[in-house]
Parts: sequence; structure tokens; C-alpha cells
Amino acid sequence: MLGVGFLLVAALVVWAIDPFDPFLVYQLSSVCYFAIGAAGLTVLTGLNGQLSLGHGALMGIGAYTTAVVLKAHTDLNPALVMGTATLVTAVASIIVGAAAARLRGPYLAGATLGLAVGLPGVAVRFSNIFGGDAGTSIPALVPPDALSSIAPEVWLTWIGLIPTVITFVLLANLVRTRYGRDFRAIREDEVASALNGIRVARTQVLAFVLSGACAGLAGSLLGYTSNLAAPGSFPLTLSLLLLAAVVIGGLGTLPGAVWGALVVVFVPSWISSLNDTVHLPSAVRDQLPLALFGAVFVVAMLAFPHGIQGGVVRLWQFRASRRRPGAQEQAADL
Amino acid sequence: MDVSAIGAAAGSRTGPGALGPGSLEVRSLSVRFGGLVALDDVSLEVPAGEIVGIIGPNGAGKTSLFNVVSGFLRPQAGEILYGGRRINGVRPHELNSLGIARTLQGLGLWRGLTVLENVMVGARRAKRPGFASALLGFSRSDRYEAVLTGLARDQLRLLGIERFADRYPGVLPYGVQKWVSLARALVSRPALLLLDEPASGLTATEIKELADLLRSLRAQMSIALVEHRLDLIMNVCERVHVLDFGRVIASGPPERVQKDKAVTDAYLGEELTPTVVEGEADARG
Ligand SMILES: Nc1ncnc2c1ncn2[C@@H]1O[C@H](COP(=O)(O)OP(=O)(O)OP(=O)(O)O)[C@@H](O)[C@H]1O
Ligand SMILES: [Mg+2]
Repeated sequence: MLGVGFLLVAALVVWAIDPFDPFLVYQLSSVCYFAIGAAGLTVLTGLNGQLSLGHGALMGIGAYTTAVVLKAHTDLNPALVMGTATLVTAVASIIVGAAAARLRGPYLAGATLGLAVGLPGVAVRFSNIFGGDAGTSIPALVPPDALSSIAPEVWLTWIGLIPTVITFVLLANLVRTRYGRDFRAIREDEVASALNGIRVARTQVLAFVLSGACAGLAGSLLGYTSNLAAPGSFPLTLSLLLLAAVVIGGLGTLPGAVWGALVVVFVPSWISSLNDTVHLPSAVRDQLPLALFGAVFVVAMLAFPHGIQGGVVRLWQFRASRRRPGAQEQAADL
Repeated sequence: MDVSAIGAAAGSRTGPGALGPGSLEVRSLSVRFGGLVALDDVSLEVPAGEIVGIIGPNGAGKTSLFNVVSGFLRPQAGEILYGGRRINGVRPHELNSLGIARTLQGLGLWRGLTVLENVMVGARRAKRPGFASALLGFSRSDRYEAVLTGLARDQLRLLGIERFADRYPGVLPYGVQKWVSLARALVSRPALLLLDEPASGLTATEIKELADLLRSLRAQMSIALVEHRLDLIMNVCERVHVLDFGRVIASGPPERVQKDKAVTDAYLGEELTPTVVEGEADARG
């Protein structure tokens, strides 16, 4: 399943990359960082059952780390920069995760919401380091001289695919081992988990740190894509959009994170380009894309209660069951 | 590492006998929830290799007793000895490697994990590959997964439910689900097994199968059996302790306990006075 997802995305990229359409390339970079962020969040929320409304803020930590590191060492290798951003965010997530492991349900949602609302304020408060409301700029990635015929935006998209693929391969490895089982067991029943030797709190922190690391990496890539780390880039809506991507793609499935990223990047822009072709009063036109996106979201959830990946799996099983009666009755995670 | 070896090592300090490997003894346990006394000066033992029944009306404190032994509840007073070693303050997640397994009242299965995965989680082993190994997909991690899969499948086969391995528990008949929860507890090869109402919801035939299974396990582990189904208790237990309002009101062989006045009164919900039936003297000897 995961392989199919990858192939689809890769095919889409190869087919769609048009060096003369900077907007499309920009969108594909966005798909990369949304996919990374959503992959981490789907492990946390989908597999481990911890709801986070604060992952947008964690992406902010990744982006600001990128900006601060690059301010000191302008030419630092992007792999090192992204690695640092991932590590710093992972460390920050230990603190958040330790607090989160003590909280459940609405309390956890509230605490992570506080993170999403409060963290951008820190950037404003320490404006000498983080550049206040205006933020800190991040220099664009430029291709090496030998490949200078490639436009920087296209180069960025190709570079962005590398951490995306690495993230998905590592997470896919992890979730099919005991860690994945432990994450899900805790989501289902903590008492039974402890009785079977799982260190519940420690495993919850691990899941949080893992998904925080992904958010940090995603944030770093977002910084490279927008050339800026600013408080306005990490609003609460970013956290909500990540969550929407996870849910619409299929909670707890890694391919679902890719589907979700594609949806939250492409659907709003298709809607707004559609919107531009019809002539409506501006008051309606300005609100319509958001309303339509909401409507698409609701309809999609009604049609695919288990997200897009759930629908894909169902279709797959339907075909399989026609060939082989008695096929599995339930969609597995992954 | 063989988990049953830990139980054996714990027991070897006091030598064989009643306090041998896998035995359980609680001494003067008291647990209060605010004003409510859930356990009141409870002393009882589960000698090595025996099946001991713990019965009593609803709310008598049977599950609370298991909660204390498995570290979910801190007793206000008293001692818990496992294989003769004091284990007060043990944390629930440590039980598995100590060789203690417990099934939960109801099922306590993870509904989003397949039957096989449920049992694989139970089959933990002390020496397991770390996080990095799992993340990078090292072959050590794969081999460990293969070992767990093998252990879990063997256990399912032993209980005759291997054909359900790839199903999700929620879609299976209740009896099969009960068997899965037993498989999950047994796969760790415990030295002490705590069963909380394993027969509830089972048909008469299934209860007979359960009795056969429990008797076949006696050679390998000690079993504390909390159960309302007295037919099962009569069938498999060497000895029974009766709890009522958090107190042990009777102890002894099942036939004798069944005739005990205090016990029949407790089940009718009448006034009670703690009594000790004759069998207890030899039970402690
Ligand atoms: N966590 C808790 N907080 C407060 N009271 C509790 C708690 N757990 C149990 N109790 C109370 O302690 C008493 C003993 O409960 P327990 O669950 O041990 O009974 P039981 O013998 O297992 O009953 P049943 O046969 O119904 O399972 C009951 O009155 C119950 O309401
Ligand atoms: Mg109970």
C-alpha cells in the first residue's frame, strides 16, 4: 500500500513538474512538508491516540531553528540544517510530550492548543533573535553550478522529496514493529497495555517526540519553501490543517498522510481558481473558497469515514474478495 | 531471556514449598477508597503450582485485590510476596518480566490489533532490539518480529484458535475472544496467572474446556482464579478464599467452603460474621 502511494506521488511529480510554472512547483514543495508533518501527526494521533493541536507551532520551532542556524552559517549544507531543526524540535517535544502523557482527551487538546497559540508569541517577545513580527528570512536553496540550468524552485522540490521519502521509510519500518503495536495498544486500552509490559507513559512520550521530530523537519522545509520564518506562518490554522490532512487521508495510515497533504495543498487552490472564473460579489468570493473547502471536507468524511486511504483499501479488498471469497472484513492500519 | 526463570529465581531464595516459584502470598492487606473499605486486613496465599479460587459477591474486593498485586493500587497496609519475595510497589509494566500475567474482567483486548498482534504484545522478551534498530529496519528487528510471531502462533495453535490469527477480536464470538485474552496472558509463560472472571459469558461447553485447560496448566504455574461460576471453582480449585465486604470470611477446600454458613449468608446478602473453616489450618501448614 505504502509503495503504491509513493509511486503515485512520484508519478505525479514527474508528470507535473514544469519548470516554467513556479506556482505548481511551490505547491509540490508544500505537499512535501505537509506530508512529513501529517505522517508524524498520524503516528501520534492515529496510532497512539494522542490529539495534538500544537503541531503547527512545533513546525514553527523547526523553521525558526533553520533561520537562526542559517543566519550564523549561511552556506551550511541543507541536510545538516534540516537535521538540526529536527533534533531541536525533538528535544522541545520531550518537554511537551512529558506533559502530554499526563493529559487525556479535552485536557490534552487544550494544552496543545495553548502551545499553538502561545509559541508564536515567544518569537515576537525575543525579537532580537527571531525578528519579531516581521520574522527572519531564510536564504533560498540554489542548485550547484553544474546543475544551474534548474530553477531554484524546482531544485527545492527535488531536495524536498529526499527528507519526505526518508521520513516515510523510517516511519513505515517503525510502525510494523513492536513500537507500532505498542502505540496502538496504548490507544485502545492503557491498563491492558501496562499489564502486558508496555511502559505506557514512556511510550507516549516517544510517540510525541517522534511526531515532534517530523514536525520540526516539516517546518524546516516550510522555511526553505517560503524563505521566511515568521509568527504569521504558524497560526493555529496550520495545526488544524495538519489535523485535517491526517483525518481526511485516513487516520493512522502513512499513505493517508500523503493523500491528506495533496488534498490540503491542491483542493483550496483549485477552488480559488474555480472561484476566479465565476463572477460573484467580492464579499461572497472572498469567503467562498474556505466555505467550499469545509464542504468538500465534510462530504469526503461522509463518503470515506476512514479517510481516503480507508476508501482505497476498501476498494482493494472489494476487488480481492471478488476473486477470493472470505477476504478480510476490516481495514488494517497501514 | 526466559521469563519463568525470573519467577524461579525469585522463589529460590526461600526454597520450595508453599512459597516456591510463582507462589503468591498477601499479608494483612488493607485498601480504602476514601471512606469505602475495599480490602480489610486480607491475608491469603496461592501456593506454587496450585489453583486457588477467590469468590465473593459483587463489590467484595476481588478485582481490587488483583489491582493491588499488579501495582495499580497502593495498599494502605500489608505485604505482597511473590515467590517469597516482597513485591510491594511493583509497577504494572514490570509484571510481565517478573512472570506474572493477569487477564482483565471482561476482555481487555485491543480491538484495533489483530488476534495475532494482541498475542504478540503479550509475548515480550527482555532482550529486544532498540528503537534505532526498529526505525532503520535492521534485520535484528525483523528476526525479533519473526520470533514473536512464532511464539504467538504457537500459543494460538495450542488453544486451537490459530485460524483466527489475522482477524480482529471485535468480529469474533465472545468465547473466542476470551480464549484470545487467555492466549495473550499465557504466551509470556507466566509463573503466576491471575484470572479475573475468565468464565463469564462462556457457554457450559466452553466452561468445561476452560476447566480442562486450567488443570493442564497447573504443572507450569500457580493460578489465582476469581470467578462467580461456582461450577468452575468446584471443578478445578484445590482451595477457595471467600471475600465479602473486603474481608476474608472463609477459606478452605471448595466442598467445605460451599457449605459454610457465612458464605451462604454472604451470597444472600445477610449479616455476616467472619469464620474460619477447618481446612485453613492445613492450608497454611
Ligand atoms: N478505583 C476505585 N475507586 C473507588 N472505589 C472503588 C474503586 N475500585 C473499586 N472500588 C469499590 O471497591 C469495592 C470493591 O470493588 P471490586 O471491583 O474489587 O469488587 P469485585 O469483588 O471485583 O466485584 P465484581 O464481582 O462485581 O467484579 C466496590 O465497592 C467498588 O465500588
Ligand atoms: Mg471484579
